[in-house]
Amino acid sequence: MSRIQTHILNKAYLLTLGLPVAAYVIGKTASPLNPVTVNTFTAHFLSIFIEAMPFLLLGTLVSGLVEAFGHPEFLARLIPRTSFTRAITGALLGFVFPVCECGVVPVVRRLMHKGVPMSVCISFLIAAPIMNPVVVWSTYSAFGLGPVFYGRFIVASFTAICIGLLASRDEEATMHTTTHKHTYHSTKKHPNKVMRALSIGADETIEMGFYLIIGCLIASALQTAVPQSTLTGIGGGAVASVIVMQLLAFIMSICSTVDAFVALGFARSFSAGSLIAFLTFGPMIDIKSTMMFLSAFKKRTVVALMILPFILTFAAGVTFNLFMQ
Amino acid sequence: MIDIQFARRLTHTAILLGIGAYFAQLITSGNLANYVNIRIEWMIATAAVLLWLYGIINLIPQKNESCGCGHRHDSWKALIFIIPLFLGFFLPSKPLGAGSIGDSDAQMLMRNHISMDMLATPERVHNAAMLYNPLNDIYPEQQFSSENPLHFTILDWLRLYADTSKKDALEGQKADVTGFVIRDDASTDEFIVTRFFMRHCIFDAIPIGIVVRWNDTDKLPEDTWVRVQGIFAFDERDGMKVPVLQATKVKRVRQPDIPYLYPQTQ
Repeated sequence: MSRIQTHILNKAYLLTLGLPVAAYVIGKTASPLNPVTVNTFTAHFLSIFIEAMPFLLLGTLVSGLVEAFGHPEFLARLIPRTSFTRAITGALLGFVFPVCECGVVPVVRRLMHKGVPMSVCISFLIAAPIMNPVVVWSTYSAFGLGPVFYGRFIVASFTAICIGLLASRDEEATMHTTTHKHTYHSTKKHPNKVMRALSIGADETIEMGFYLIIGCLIASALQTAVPQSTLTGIGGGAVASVIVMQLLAFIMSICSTVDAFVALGFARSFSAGSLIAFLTFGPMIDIKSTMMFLSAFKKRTVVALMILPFILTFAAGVTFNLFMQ
Repeated sequence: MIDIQFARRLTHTAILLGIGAYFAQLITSGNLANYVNIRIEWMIATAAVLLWLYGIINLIPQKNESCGCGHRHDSWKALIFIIPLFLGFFLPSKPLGAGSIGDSDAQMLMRNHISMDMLATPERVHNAAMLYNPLNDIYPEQQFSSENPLHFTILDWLRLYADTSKKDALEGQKADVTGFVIRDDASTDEFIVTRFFMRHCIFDAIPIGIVVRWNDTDKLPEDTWVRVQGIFAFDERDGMKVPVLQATKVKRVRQPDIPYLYPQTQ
């Protein structure tokens, strides 16, 4: 396929995602240009954009620093030997690089480029939004030490390690074809490594910002148009409640630093298993992160990265509901 | 003849500096409080500084522009930043208000809150209050914004009401709260004084409110900011006791600098 064709296909893909959402929003709100709707949409969009940017910038800065200062030989010495220990390392890396879901993609792209094994990279990608000190603290603040707290981190680790192990079996397929992405083999020459790191960070901010903004636009449109009561009204059973909470987590795209408190608000009407699913699936996969994954992985991989956490967190939530009442 | 590489770098720099400037302006104008919990102001300030650093470094001429791969660079992606720049700089900055709580979509924002069409059924008030019960379990009891009940916010009153051992204490209490008006068009003597409760950003914000009995309600357009002074009394509705604020004074006020209510314990 020629480059032009790939280009058009990429844009068509975005349109395919965007048009149904736009049609739904327009249908739901009688007049999309109603000033009140515009204000609500704008407020949502700016709010999520503003609070996400610091984390994206942190991620691009870390990415730039890894590129400028990180030697593949040094990294290779730090990485364990077996796939299993590598996947565990990846799952815990968020405590070293607490970059949250908006910052993890630029860092993972950089690590992949530096030759860090996929089992580490993918398990880090999945686990980082949850396995970090800020989220531990906020989850504890909301729920205390209890089933939801422990459940969240156990399920997150388990999911990340499983997916990391699966990724290690398919190294070539998960790597993005790099021939037409320049931002991470930039040949900008700076004698000063810090300047080089910043220069790379600047490029990545523009590149990743594109996907973040699209994610924010879609999430804001859905927040403005979809009455969440229609989803929460379904409520209820051991299985249905888990799916509902996963869908809600995906649509709401709330940052993992505070989603524990949002989940708290559902605590009265939803099962503990569904809350755990909300708190694990949401930070891993939501509209924002899905868009950002597209910048680093092939579409096939992105689909896998969406489906696998969905299945694993669903299974965890339902198991919890059925067996640990 | 414009060097395409230079033009691209210039565009990226303009964008990075522009977003940085927007963040700085949000802080200096106070409009940041319309969008996020103000405690993360330091993060936005840091982001602005980093964006300016990125923008300036990006301009520095490089020894070797070409990466020798034979492909065109993607410049069009940067154009998407026009959206936040436009929405941020050119539309008036406003927080969520009455309009963000739809008619039958009063449940639009996640959880049970007091909706316009039923003017707080006991269940809704009870459920909205119950939202904060878990907080009472985890944190020490006195997590009100002030020792003095006359300085209590809507959130404080709901917290008090949520504490089942204390809810009867509301009877006869004087209150002085500020919020915006939510009302039914048909209602002439009752409205809900409302604020949005926010933890982090608008995506987690929910409306909370107190039912106010006031005979001149038809003179209060929806979304007006008011200061309500009155006394609590319990009303019997659908077999449950609902706290209603009998207003003695309702005055229009300016929107507060921080339009949202934050949890005290964060």
